Amino acid sequence: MRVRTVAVATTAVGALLLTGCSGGQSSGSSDTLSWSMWIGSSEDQKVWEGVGNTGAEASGKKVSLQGSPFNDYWTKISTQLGTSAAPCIVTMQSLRVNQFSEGLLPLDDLIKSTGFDTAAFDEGAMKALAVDGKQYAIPYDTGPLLLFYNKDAFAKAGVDAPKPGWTVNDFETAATALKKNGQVALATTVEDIFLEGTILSTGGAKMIDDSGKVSLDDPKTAQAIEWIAGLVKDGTATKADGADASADDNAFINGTAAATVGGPWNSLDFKAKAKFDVGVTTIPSPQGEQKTYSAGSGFGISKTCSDPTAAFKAITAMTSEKTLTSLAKDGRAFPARTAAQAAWYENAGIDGAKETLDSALASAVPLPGSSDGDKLNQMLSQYGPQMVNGEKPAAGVLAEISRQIGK
Amino acid sequence: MSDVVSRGRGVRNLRTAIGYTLLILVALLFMSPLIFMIGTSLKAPSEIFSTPPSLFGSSLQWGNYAEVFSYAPFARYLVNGIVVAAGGTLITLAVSALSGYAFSRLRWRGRSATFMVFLATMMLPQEVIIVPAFVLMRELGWVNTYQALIVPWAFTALGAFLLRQFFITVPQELEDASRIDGLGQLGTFFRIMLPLARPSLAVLAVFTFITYWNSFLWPLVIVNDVTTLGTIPLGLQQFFGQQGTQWHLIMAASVISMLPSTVLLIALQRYLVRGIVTSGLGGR
Amino acid sequence: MAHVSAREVTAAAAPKDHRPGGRRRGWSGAWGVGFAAPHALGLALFTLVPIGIALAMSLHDWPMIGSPSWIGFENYRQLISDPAFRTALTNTLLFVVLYVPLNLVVSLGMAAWLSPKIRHRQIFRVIFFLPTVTPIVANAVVWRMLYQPNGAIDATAQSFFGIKLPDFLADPHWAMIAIVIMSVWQGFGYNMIVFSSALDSVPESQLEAASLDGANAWTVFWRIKLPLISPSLFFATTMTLITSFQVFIQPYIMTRGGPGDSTVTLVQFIYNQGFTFQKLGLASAAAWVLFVIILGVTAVQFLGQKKWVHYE
Repeated sequence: MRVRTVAVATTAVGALLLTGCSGGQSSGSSDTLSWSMWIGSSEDQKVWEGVGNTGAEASGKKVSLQGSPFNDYWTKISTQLGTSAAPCIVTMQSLRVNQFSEGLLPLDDLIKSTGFDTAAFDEGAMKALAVDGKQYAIPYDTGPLLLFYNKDAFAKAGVDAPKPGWTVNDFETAATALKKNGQVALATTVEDIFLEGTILSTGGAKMIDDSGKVSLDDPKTAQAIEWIAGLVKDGTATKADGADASADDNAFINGTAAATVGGPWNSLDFKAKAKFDVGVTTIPSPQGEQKTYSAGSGFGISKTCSDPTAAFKAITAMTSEKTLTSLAKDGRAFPARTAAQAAWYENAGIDGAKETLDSALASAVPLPGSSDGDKLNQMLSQYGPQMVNGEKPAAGVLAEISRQIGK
Repeated sequence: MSDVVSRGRGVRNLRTAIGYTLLILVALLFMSPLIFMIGTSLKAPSEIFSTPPSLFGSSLQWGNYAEVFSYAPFARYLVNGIVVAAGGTLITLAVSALSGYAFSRLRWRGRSATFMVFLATMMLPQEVIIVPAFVLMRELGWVNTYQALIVPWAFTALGAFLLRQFFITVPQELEDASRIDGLGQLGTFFRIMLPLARPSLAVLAVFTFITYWNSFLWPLVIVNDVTTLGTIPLGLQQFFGQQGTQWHLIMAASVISMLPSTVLLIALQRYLVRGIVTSGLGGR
Repeated sequence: MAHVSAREVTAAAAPKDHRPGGRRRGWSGAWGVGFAAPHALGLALFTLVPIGIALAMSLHDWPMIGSPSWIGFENYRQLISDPAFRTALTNTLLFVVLYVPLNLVVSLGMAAWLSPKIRHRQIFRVIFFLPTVTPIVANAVVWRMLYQPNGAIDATAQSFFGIKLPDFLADPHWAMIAIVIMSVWQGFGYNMIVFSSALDSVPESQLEAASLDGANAWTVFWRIKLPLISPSLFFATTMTLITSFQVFIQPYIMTRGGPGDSTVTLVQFIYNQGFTFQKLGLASAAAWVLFVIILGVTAVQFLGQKKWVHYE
């Protein structure tokens, strides 16, 4: 009798532990589309939930937003894709789409069958989210990498406001003048976008080749990084911090450095937080020839999504002219849809933004992605500071990074 | 004569005073990072990296604490953290009390072998099984759920070991007396043994709660929807945004994150030393 | 004072039967199984099964997406020939070698200092225990700020001693030391409480006898107290050793493993391989290597204890 009580109790406890509290969410539940997105703050969350609602209306299903901080987002996506835990709608960055294309559904059939008009989007932004001719996501924002600068600091140092198309020499002159005035010119970081964008513009060098392979052995790459290291040594650029990828943004916002490389997606934040007038221009190039990368983000559909048709309906609404115009009015993303771009210029609140963007976009090429992108990022956060801060020769550090990324 | 005595007392007083001063200084030194944390949490963002650094800014920004809750769903992280830590602690206490008792005062076939296996797993850090545990969760469909945060780590052998050590020390007479009073196995366990084990259970509760509360690697791996299921350590990551680190908020959030486990520690601290004496625990 | 020891294990194997009635009355078979079952089942499912899975995974090429394929010991071979793995291994060993003694000295020292003679010592105990109850993530962030050039530590040194300190976390020679110091501060509280309670339970009579013999406080501590608390010293050393091999959060937050690879630890290597590079098989192989190392170290500890651990 007693024995039986114990046995029953034990079984009950065991059963409770194993099944009682399970019932975890699955992405394919019939009335919900789960959507993963990087979320910086509650304010972000509210805006994106609004975007999700437009998708819900269009698809007739609930769109549930799963947010994680940007730093962890890519690791999380990589553990989810290909499993039943994968979200239906996946937010993708153009430079990372190669890495995840295996877990994403090519959208070409859906585009064709629904008559989705891809021509309404910026061509480069669209192409940037395709791999081997297959479209994996529909872009919501895009934009070339630019140089944001502190207008007040430039004026105080008696430096003329830089014009789009300025040269590396112009920049160095400005940096010297700023330094005389006790002001560091450039904020650095070892984040991939910053490094790749800066060395392409200032030195014509690429860290990822057009076929998506990490290739660091071009002497031009080492040279371009040595140029940044020279600035750091000279005291005209901040030191890079491997453990804090966004240290450059902080340094710019709090006035430590007078300029930083970023995309249109940064402008809202800079304007809101900086206590000075924010200006924007192109990243300096050797002869003023202006080479720059563009990058953007969009929404894709995971292969395991149980209802891709509904998901595509949602994505269509989430990238509609109306939605993107309203995002642009908040000054958030520079819309990938050309018809919505005017709204951004009107609301960005930065003088000369249109002129700069037009000028940069004319020559911008999509920042290529690589299937080794996350590895490169990890290696850059470990090894990057040594070369950017000039503690070790860039060529040697780059060789070490190549070796570790290896096979 | 009385002179000598008072001089002796004076010297002793002086030495005591020096000893205490030294101890307070050391305590302050050890607390300085936490004091710095509190100071920074009350600074305006623009003053955080001012040189030379100051403990407090030009004015105390209590608003930072409110901003923690508006900038990120931090209230949610707090509640999640408490639910996960409390849930995990309860399961751990329940299964450990039972097994600790079984390993000490009940005799059954396979007892020593089972206990050996338990002891062996104590040598096994959580990190070693993080990859297979993740795969297991995926198979069970538990990825991104509360139970994945709570259940897998509620069965650590430490609890069984700790309570076994305690139950061994309970005199046999007590058990015999309860039998004479007509109490069965369950009655003896629940009415006699469990109340006696309170200090050991308190130790286990404090240590388990803290471990759950501070756990980072496992939530990092298993939680996808951070804004819904995130615990405190994951939530802190949100202040390292894509657009610059919110140092003042991280510090304010850190101060808040200290509170629950500190309260628990102070509430149970009188049990703590007693519990350790009777059970033996350490590490970390 | 309780402890894990070979003798404890044997004691468990052959428990003393207090009852005169012997086997039949002492045998409470079904009850014992029932009481132990929830814990044992949970432990089996969530610890033993994963260990087995890890072993199986380590013998496969196991990508995050897609199906695994058997490759035998290839992962292990790859680990041995990977300089990054060797570095992670040496870094971890360096951390352990620096951290464990420092932790024990500080915790034992503080425990001895906070003797019952100290008034309000429970307040001091709580103070020294506070860093332990604070999330390590939070602590690591604070220390990152403290260590920065012109941060609190550097600025203090400059204004009081006029010396400019190195950029601790960006200097390959200092980064690991900086992490060790932070970790000791963070972690010594546990052992302090253990030693503190062990020292409290040293019988008064023995101490009185010693002081009558004219031994000074130092001698009493070394000759009387230390041997008496050696079982808890042994327990604390073992547990601290095991946990110190798991160091991850501190470098993850403070250095990301850098500068270069000077603070990449084994657990970070496992995390990177598994969740960033998506090679679950290789990560599992590395985990097994870590497991075997810990087992080895613990075994040595157990074998060595006869020399210095005294049970009453």
